[in-house]
Amino acid sequence: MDRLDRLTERLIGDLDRHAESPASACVELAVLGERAAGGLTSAAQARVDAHLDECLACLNAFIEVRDLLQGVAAPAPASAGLRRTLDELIGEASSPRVWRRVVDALRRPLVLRVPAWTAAAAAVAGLLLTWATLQTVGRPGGTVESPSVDRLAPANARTERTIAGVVGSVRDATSNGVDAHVVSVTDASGATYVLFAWGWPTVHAGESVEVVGIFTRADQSSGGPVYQGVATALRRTR
Amino acid sequence: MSAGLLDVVRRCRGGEPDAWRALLPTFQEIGRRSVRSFRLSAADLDDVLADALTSLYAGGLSQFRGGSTAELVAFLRAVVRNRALDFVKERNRWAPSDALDQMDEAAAAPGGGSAPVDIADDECLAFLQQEVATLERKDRELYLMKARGLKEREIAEQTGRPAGTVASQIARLLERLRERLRARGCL
Repeated sequence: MDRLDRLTERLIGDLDRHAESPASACVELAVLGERAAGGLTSAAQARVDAHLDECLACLNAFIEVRDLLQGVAAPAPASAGLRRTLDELIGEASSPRVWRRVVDALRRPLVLRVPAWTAAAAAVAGLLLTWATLQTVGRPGGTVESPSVDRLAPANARTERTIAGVVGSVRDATSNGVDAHVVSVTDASGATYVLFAWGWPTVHAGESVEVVGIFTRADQSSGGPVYQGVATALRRTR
Repeated sequence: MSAGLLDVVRRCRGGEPDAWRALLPTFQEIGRRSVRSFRLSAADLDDVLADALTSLYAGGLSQFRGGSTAELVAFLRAVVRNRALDFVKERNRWAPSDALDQMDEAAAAPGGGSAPVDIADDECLAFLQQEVATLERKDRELYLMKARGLKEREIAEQTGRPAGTVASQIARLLERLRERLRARGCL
C-alpha cells in the first residue's frame, strides 16, 4: 500500500463520515437511490447531477448507494454457511451454536474490553489486597500494631545511653570467624539488658560494669523489664 | 424490486421464516459490498455476515425506520460494517504486526503522532481532495469506485464501459494523481 492508497483510504473515510452528517445542501439518501435507479424526473435528475458535480461527498455516497442497489438487483445465492446460520435461527433456536451467537451479539455492546494483562494485574492486586487484609485481621486484637519510633529509627540516629549493673552471664556469639559475645547485665532497678558486643569478652559474670550502648525494650510477658541492644563500650567499674 | 424488498423486510419483522430466506441473498450481497475495503477472507466474511444476520434476527431489523430501498441498504450496510469493524479490532488486538506497532508508537507520541508526518499527511490529503475535485465527473467516479474496492468488472457493469477500457483509464488516472502528488512533494 503506497502513500496514494493510504491518502485515498483517509479521503474515503472522511467522505463517509460526511455522509453520516450531511450538509443541508446535500442530497438525501433516498433521492440518491432514486437517481441511481433512474426514478427521478429529468428536472430533478438535472438538479441532483448538478450537485453531484460540485459535491465530492455526495458523489461518494451516490456511488456507494448505486453499488449496493446493483447488488440488490442481482444478488448471488446465499452461501451455505449463511443459510445454515439462518436455518438455525429459524428452526433450531435451541441449538447451542445459535444461542452462542445470539448471546455474543447481545454481549458485545455491553462487554468492557480490557487487555488480558490488565485483568491479570487486577487479579494479582486483588490477591495482594486479600493477603494484606488477612494479615491485618489475623493479628491478636485485630489491629495492626504501629511500630515504635524507637524500633524504626536507624541505629546511627539513636542516642547512646549508659547503664550500670552486674554481669549475669557472658556467652560466645562468634560466627563465621567474627568474634562476638552476648552479655547479660542486671541494673539496680532489676531491669535486665541483653547486649551484643564485638570481640572477645572483657568482662565476666558477677562483675560490676558500665555499658554504653543502644537499647530497645524487648517484650516479655512476666518478670522485670528486659532490654536488648548493642554494646558500643563495655568496661568494669571496679 | 424496491417495494418488494421493503415488503420482504416488513414480513421479516413479522417473523416470517420465508421472508428471512428471501432476504438472505440480498443481505449477503449488500454485506459483501459494504466491507470490500476490509479485505476479509471468505471465512472471516462469512463470520461477520453470520454475526450481523444474528443481530438483525435478534431484533436489530426492528431498528430500521426508513421508507426507501436506499435507506434500507444504507441501514444494512451500517450493521455489517459495524460488525466488521468489531471483528477487525478484535483480531488486531491479539495479532500485533510491525505496522500496528508503528501505529501504536505514533499514537503514543506527544500530540498523537509525529507532528511533521501528520501535518504533511493532512496537507497531502487536502491536496489530493482538491485534485480529485478538479477531475472530470467520469474520472472522479472511476477514482471513487476504485477507492471503494470495486473490481474493474463491477465498475464496467455500473458504468457500461468495457472492462479493458476501465482498467486502462484507472491506470492512467492513478498515475496522473501520483505525478501531481509527487510534484507537490507528497510521494
